[in-house]
Amino acid sequence: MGRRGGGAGKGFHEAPLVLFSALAVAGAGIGGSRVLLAATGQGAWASSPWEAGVVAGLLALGVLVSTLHLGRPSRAGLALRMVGRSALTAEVLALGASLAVGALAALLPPGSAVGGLARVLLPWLSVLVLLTLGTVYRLPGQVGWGGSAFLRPLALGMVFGMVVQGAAGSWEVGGSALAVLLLVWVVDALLMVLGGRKLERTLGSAEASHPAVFRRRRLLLAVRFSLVNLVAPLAFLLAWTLLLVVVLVAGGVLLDRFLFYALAARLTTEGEVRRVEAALHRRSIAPQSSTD
Amino acid sequence: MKTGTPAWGPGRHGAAGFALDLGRCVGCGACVLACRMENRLPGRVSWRRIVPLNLARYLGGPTYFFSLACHHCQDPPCVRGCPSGALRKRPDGVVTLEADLCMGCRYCEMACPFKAPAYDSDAGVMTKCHLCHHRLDSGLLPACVEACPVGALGFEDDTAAGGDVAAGVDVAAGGAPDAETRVGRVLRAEEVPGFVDPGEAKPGLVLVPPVGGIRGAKYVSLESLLAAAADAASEGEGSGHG
Repeated sequence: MGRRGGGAGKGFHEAPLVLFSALAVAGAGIGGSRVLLAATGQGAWASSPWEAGVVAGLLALGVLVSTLHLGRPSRAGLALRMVGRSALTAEVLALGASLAVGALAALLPPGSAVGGLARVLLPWLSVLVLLTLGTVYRLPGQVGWGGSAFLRPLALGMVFGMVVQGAAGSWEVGGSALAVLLLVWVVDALLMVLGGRKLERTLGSAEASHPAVFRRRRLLLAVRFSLVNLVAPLAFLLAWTLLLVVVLVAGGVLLDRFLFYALAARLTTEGEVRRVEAALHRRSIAPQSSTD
Repeated sequence: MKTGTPAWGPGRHGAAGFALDLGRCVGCGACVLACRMENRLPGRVSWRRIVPLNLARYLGGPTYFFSLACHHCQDPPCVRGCPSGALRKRPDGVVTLEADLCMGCRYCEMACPFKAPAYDSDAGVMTKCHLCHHRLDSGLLPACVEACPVGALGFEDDTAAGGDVAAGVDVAAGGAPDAETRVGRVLRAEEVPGFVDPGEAKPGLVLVPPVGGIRGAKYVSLESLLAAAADAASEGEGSGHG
């Protein structure tokens, strides 16, 4: 594959990143939730082969989709050149390692030593993926991506993973695992609220990347919050079909990732100039005559 | 502020960046055009832009124009984040982008707080101002600086911002002020209302305020600007200004 002609100059060029990160959060969430389950005594510390297969499959699909964002997909291998220096390289490495380990864990027979090691490593690598998905966007001037925002993929991934594991019968609803799931739900809700408040506080000098979506941010964030943090937990606690809960949270993951990119707002000179001019205007200063 | 021919060349080490005299820039855009022509930029790509402040001329507030390009920061977030190493900071301070190493991930575009990297959708790679280092290496000024008809845009290197300096002086070469030199306090960019610096990148841009500041108020904060503007409005009302 060579150059992608036309590319994504204007418009929502982040669409492939939305899909990629949703798939990565989902896959790594399933893998990483194994850590929570094991910590609460609801299963082994090692992923099962089917679990590893699902994780590897989702991550592989995500990595494939992410190349659609590149202007030069054939150069994707260059992403590994800055090990130890670039946060994006670290993310790519974590994804690659999880994918490879997940594939080994899924394909090697149960008695294999390498397979066994892979199945133990996979949950921790999945947690690393969820963390790097957040830390890669700790960028100066990006209003909505700083602070505690780097924990959002981790929290949301764990919610999704635990719900999927529950639907798959990996844990019994009740007891400590339920408490952990509810706790993660609360953490996710808290991160959403904190992020929303920070966004509103720093709007003055910010310039939105996608103004049309940004104008509807409160409604969209409310929908996301309701889907993941109100409807899904209620459905879960009221013992609705777990598959429905999975669908609700999956929809929430996709919406969350869309909003992460669509509501990106950056402190810029253009934004600050608008703030200064608005302040001048508010001070009831009339425009000068054109003959001045 | 036309600086003289900079002392440039291989092996030079230091910081580099543009200098802008806010009292001279009239927002004509000659710098933008010169950059496009010199670097043969495709239609949708621009490395320099003009941002006017207070074009509506609210009474008492200043009106000036920011001519902005890459600031060749001392700690550039774009370089730190680039996964392929296409972006690098040369020893002479210039931040360059090697297109052959760029995969067009646009991460630098997200990382840069100053909107410097520009995506060329036809080529599928990022592009950015490189301070016309090809001209610098030949003893010439950057195209935008050369093109400025009012001497507002300059090129400074190793300037100790915050000290008193005569605009129009080639600091690096230690030249003498010319007859039209306007003495102004050179400011760090973050001291000027309207300019935003998130504070981590240490941009190389220096800004020279208009002579006299804003009715004598120093460009130290938005609050001082607004206070000066309010004073001006009060004076206007008191004198029956309509």
